[in-house]
Amino acid sequence: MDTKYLFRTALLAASLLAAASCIYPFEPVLPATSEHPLVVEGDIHLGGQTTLRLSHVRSLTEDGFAYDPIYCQGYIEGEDGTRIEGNTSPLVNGPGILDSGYGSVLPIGNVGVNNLHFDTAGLTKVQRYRLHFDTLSESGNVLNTFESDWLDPCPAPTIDGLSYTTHEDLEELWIGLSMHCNGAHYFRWTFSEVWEYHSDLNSYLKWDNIHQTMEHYDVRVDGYPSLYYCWKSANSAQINIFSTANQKEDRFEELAFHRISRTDKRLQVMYHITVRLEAMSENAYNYWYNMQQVSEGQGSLFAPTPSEMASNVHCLTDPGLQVIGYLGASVQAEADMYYDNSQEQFYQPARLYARDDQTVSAYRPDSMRYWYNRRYLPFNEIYEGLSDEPSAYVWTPGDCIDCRRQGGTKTAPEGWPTGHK
Amino acid sequence: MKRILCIFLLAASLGNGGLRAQDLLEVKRVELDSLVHFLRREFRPDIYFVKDEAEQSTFSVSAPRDAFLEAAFDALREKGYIISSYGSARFILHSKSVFTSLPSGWFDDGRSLTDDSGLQQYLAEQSAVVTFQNKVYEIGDSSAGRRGKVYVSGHVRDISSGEPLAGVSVYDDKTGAYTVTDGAGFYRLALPVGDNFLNLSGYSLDDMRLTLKVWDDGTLDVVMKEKVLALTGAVVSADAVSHHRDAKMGIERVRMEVINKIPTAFGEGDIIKAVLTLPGVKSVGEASSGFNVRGGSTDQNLILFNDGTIYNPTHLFGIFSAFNPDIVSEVELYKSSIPAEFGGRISSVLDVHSREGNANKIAGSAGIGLLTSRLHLEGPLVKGRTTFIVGGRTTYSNWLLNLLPKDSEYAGGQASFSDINASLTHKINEDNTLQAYAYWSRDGFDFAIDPAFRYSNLNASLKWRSRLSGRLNLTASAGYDQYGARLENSLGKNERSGYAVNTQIRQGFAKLNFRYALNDAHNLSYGANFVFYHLQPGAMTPLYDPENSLVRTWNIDGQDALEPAVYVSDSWTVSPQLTLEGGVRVSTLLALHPAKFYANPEFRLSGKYSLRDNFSVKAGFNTMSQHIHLISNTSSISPIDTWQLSTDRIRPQTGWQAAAGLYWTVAGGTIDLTLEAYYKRTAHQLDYKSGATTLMNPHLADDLVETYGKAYGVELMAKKTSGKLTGWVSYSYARAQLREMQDRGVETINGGAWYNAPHDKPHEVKLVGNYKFTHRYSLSVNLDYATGRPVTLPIGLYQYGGGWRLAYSQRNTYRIPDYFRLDLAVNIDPGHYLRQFSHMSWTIGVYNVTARKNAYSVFFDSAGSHMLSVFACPIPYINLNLKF
Repeated sequence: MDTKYLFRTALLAASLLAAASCIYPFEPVLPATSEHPLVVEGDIHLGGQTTLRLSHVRSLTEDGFAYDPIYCQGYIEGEDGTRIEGNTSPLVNGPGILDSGYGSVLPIGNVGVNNLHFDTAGLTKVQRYRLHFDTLSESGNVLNTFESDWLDPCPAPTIDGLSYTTHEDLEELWIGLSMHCNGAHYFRWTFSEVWEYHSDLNSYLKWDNIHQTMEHYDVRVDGYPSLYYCWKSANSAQINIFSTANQKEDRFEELAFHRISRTDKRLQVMYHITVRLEAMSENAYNYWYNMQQVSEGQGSLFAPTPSEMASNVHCLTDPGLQVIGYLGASVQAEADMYYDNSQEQFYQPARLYARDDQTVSAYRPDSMRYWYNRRYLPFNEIYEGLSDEPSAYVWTPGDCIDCRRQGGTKTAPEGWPTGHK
Repeated sequence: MKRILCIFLLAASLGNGGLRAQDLLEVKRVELDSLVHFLRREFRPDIYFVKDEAEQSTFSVSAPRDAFLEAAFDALREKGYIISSYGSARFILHSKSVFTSLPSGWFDDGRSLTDDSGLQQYLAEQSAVVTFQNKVYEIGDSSAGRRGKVYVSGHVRDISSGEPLAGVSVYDDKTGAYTVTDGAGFYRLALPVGDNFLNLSGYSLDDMRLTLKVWDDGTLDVVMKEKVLALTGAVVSADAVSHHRDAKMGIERVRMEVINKIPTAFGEGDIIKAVLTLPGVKSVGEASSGFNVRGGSTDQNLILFNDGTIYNPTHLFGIFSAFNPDIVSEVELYKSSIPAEFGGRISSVLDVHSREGNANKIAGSAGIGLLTSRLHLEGPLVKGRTTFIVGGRTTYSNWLLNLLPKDSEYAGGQASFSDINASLTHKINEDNTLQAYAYWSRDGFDFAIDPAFRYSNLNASLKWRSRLSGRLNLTASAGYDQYGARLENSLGKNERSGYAVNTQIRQGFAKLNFRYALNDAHNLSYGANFVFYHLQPGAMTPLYDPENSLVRTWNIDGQDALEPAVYVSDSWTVSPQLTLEGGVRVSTLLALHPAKFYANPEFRLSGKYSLRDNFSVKAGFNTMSQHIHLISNTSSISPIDTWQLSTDRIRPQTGWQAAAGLYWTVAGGTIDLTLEAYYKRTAHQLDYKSGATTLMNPHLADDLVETYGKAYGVELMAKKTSGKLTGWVSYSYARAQLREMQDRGVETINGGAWYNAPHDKPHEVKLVGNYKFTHRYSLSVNLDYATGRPVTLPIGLYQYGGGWRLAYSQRNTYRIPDYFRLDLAVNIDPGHYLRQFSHMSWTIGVYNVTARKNAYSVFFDSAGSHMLSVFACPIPYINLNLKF
């Protein structure tokens, strides 16, 4: 057999194989369930404000999302008898007593819906705390009382800095966190990010669809909002945890936790990230680690078999009731960082595109209205001869001009350094 | 060219019609093979020769037709050839003659048919074994005056390579005496003094029926040849013999010739994949390491390769098996009646034997596939005494990974493996043989950034086989096994925190086994095993410069233990119809620091009763115990799963199995129908608590729970081992469930109820077939259907930590879609040109012909539900094998 033919056969087979090992959409017939465990999310922030969010697990077989208010009230107590009542938000406006209709009542006063807020600014690390709360679920019509285990306050970590590194080979920018903490080995952090980006085209034309007129404007002079610059924000959706239990010191340096593709609009103009870090107990770490594995680490050959871990919040009135969530008592540290693409020039546009431009006569406002209603926007003017008046306008798909159509807003965060409007 | 020309001229001269007796025939300067070819054509077909490659004579003969044959023989004699006669046949050998009758007491002197008589080679080339089956062999001196029964023993070897043949059934029709050759091809049988018929039957070997006159204890070495013809007559298959003679049940023997014909994903003969085609053997999915036998977990299988323990039997995480197909001779899987000499695992024993190497000539093979290449060499070092076999495999799969889509988690990764086998067998004398054996393998897999996995097997052993007396045999072996795995996690190339974790098992072992023929009814097997374990469950080191790293160098305390065991078993032939086997094994473990001693007596009982010659009933009962456990929280064995010895907190696993079966041989002995049912219970099988950490966990015992296991099932199988169509079809209904032994309240797995084991796949249909169109061309088919395996599915969704999370409920209550796969392959075997230097064979096939997207797992994330399919498209392959 011809060697070349052999090689081609091999290549074909290999290509098929490459396409063969894949992940496909799959719609299993899920078992209907009546289990809707309570989810308690949040930590007691010593020296700060604490908000705990209550919700129920949503069945995967349900279509849509039914509003499921959980009326709640509770307190945090310290070992020395300190007691901080929940200052709920929003407060319920209603009768003096919430009655489930089945004999279960929740006295009015500091009753919240799905949120329990506590002013924990006065709490310190010198003692243990625990959470106690009651819930009345409309869907459940049952009054339940919950209590957490006693929580050991964790030491406060210090953020030594945030940094970024550009990786040309991977075409990614990695954001790293450095921190140290004496006495704690387990850490979790969340981040929120804001970035400024711009649309593909900058237009200084504005079509007034009411008066059917085309206007020129200058952002600085006319004060019109430019459609060129926008801001967008996001919060971390992935779980970020780290253990220094296997290290000589309780610190890490430039630990990459967030990878951004160089074609991501985040890096187009200016990017800002705020990280909130807290220490936690070993049990809390294991809980978060398991949650990370079963919700983010599935699908690979060696994915762990999913399972649920026990919460440290228990239902006193119905001990068999499953609760999800792990409560901690900690002090949050916060730090932030900017990335300025005007300095780094790491951003690369993701795509080359062809626009479907339309040239519309300047004397045909009806045509311009037509294109405006088709979500086109004016981009350029065409002059003929020596006339000072444009004879036509170039209209282009609005997505290329109006940055808001990519999900952003025109509201710049306070003190945003670029000064763009 | 000269030779061809001569024949051509001769043929032309003879082409003008019949010749008279006085017509002059003439050949000029032809070589031996051409001369014989001519003689066969013109005079008699039963002239056989063995060409001495060192002898390059040419022959010229000129004589009248009626005297030409003798003239040709004379010419041969002049060049040192000896012409021997047996019946009408003539044998031509250089400087050697053929013994056409054996002198009295020949075998008593320890000599065998493999002596330098040239006979063996002659037989290999001329397929004349049947001649010798018709001969009467006398064993012992008729004047010995023995009465009752005497012992005949010997070795069964392959006719062409001289290698021992294991698993050959040797039996006597008249008395029902039965035995199976061991790994060295050795057998011993008690026969009554006088005339006997000794039958030998082995898979893919031509059956033999020898006529013996037995006067005294003696030896009879036998050579058997591979079945090359599609037999149409009634033959008794090896399986049929085993079913109706042996009391043991649940034993599957598969020879490499069969394994090589079973289509696999990349065309290379694969032992583990072949084992998975047998009823009662399952895996959690394609490309998963390990297998499950009759509801047992993957760590409950003892995998032995020449007595050494293989802890990870796969390469590339399950795509290839760890065994080089060129090196292996035969595989035996014990899934029910486990002989007392084996212990240490509670589900099964997979005993893999490597070949000893060709005793006659240097030979070898090379194979080229899409992902792997292999090469092996074998042959005699000292003719008749020392043979060697060495082989290696390597892969070049990186190019394939580079073709994967960029968003695949494997894209940009690297994967590779290599392995080397080497074996040296030295025959000290007729009664003593030494074999040294070594195996090494290495696997590596790097994901694009993190993590990277490595694992490696190392085995070395020395085995001594001795025939201490006519009734007593000894097999002693000692060796060293090592398995190590390494995980590297750079944490995004972080020089401060990047770490590596190593785990390792090291064990030294010694085994002593005696087989003693107590009398004609009782065959004893007894001995002792000793294993010394040293386990390193985890050692962490910095991945980068230790000076600059924050990572602590530390390790979990190593585990040391001694595992001595003694055993004795007896096979009692009560009558030709009834055979009973019983054994006791005392398995112990002395765990050191902290010291803890466990002792478990194990019982092995089985019985066979033949209602008719072709219909038998068997039953068996086994108890087993296990002191080493694989701790895993993944469905498939992962390289970073850790092995743990029993300690003061981790008790040995124990289990028992009761089984019964019906065995019916039909269609003139060519089809075996079997029905086996079993019920099995285990205790102290380890499962993990929810959220258990298995890596670098010094308090691992706290994260484990003990479970009860129960498994039951029925296996139906029809197997055809001869004829143009061979193969088997099987159906099994099998369940495997677990239940936590302790009540931990709400944390008890599934509330303390029975839950499905990850490999619980109730219905399975398997079909393996090979249809031989001609000697060279055959078509292989492999079909596999199974109920989908259980998985844990989420019951709900909730927001937590900024993202959507999944809430899981009961473990393993849902099933992935059923599994179905059809593979086809065309095998082109080499032609039977004996003098050709090399023989090329091809395998061209398609894996997963129907392109079914079989689910390996189903999972959920924020984008919805998904299914991971490992081989979702047809995979064509071509494999080239070259034998020389």
